[in-house]
Amino acid sequence: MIDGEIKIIENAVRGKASAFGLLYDHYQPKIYRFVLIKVGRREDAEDLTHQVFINAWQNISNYKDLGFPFSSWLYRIARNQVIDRYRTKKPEISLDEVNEESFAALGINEENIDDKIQIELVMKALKELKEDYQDILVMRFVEDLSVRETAVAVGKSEGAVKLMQHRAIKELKKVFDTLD
Amino acid sequence: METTELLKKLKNIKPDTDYSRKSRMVILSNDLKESRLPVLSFSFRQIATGVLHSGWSMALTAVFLLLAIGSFSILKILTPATTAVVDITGLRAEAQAIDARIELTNIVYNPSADIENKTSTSSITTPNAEPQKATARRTDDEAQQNAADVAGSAKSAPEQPAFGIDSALDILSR
Repeated sequence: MIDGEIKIIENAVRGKASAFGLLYDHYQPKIYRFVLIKVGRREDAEDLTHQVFINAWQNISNYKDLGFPFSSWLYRIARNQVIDRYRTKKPEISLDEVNEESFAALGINEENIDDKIQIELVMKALKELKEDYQDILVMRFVEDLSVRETAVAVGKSEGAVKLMQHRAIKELKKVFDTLD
Repeated sequence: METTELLKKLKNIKPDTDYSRKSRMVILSNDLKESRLPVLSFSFRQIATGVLHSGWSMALTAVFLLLAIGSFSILKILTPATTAVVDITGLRAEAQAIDARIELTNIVYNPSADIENKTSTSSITTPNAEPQKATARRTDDEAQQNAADVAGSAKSAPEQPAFGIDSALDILSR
């Protein structure tokens, strides 16, 4: 959350582009990461992230502070955007095809080769999980969203998120074991 | 390594700075053109919501009207059942009793009867009693009682030749 986010959001809702620019700067990397993990291809992730922020800017007047953070609203738009894009069409490039040369294309700016391999492994493992499990794990452990924020973003209760998180970690461990 | 720690490695994924700069510029440059759209869509949404609300209220009113009309027609259907409970013979007897009283009062003001009263004292009691008895046969118990009282009073005072229905009514009113 940015300092004085409530005021910034208020200004953005009134149509101030500079205020929305601040929100973009803060949340765009997070949304991009979230989308990239889901779609697995940089071009698609860039396109979708751009669409997410265009939608957010166009509909910002409809945003109402109902007690949940702005990030949850953006993640919700991002989820819907990804679902709409891949409702019928699956990602063309599977993460199995991603090799070390593809990291640059994925937008992973990591110098250490071991870390790169680990990132590849985690992305591969995540792809084996259900969509909801993927979303919850990324939101909770990559984006550090609270249970409440995650619950709002995925449209489930906090209890359901906790339960799903537990199951998702268990599933992910199993996948890691099979990949090893 | 812990699963959650592995997940945290994904934090190193970052968007291309050039892409981010261009995307930001494009989104914010659409400010004036795009920002009008939400306002328009909002007003359209408001209109749609208003129409929907009024539609609902109209539908509810129609339902209430149907219920009201339906209940009236149900009442109409049920009416014969409720009237069947009423004692028609009793009502008819009461109606006849009213008629009898009217006839009795008419007798008082019958000029021919008055003339007969004056000509013969013996015929005073009998002609008065005769039509009263005939009338009493057609009336209920109460009417019969009244007629008998009037006839009885006329018989008990045969020496009063000018005893008319007015004096009988006076006695009854006491």
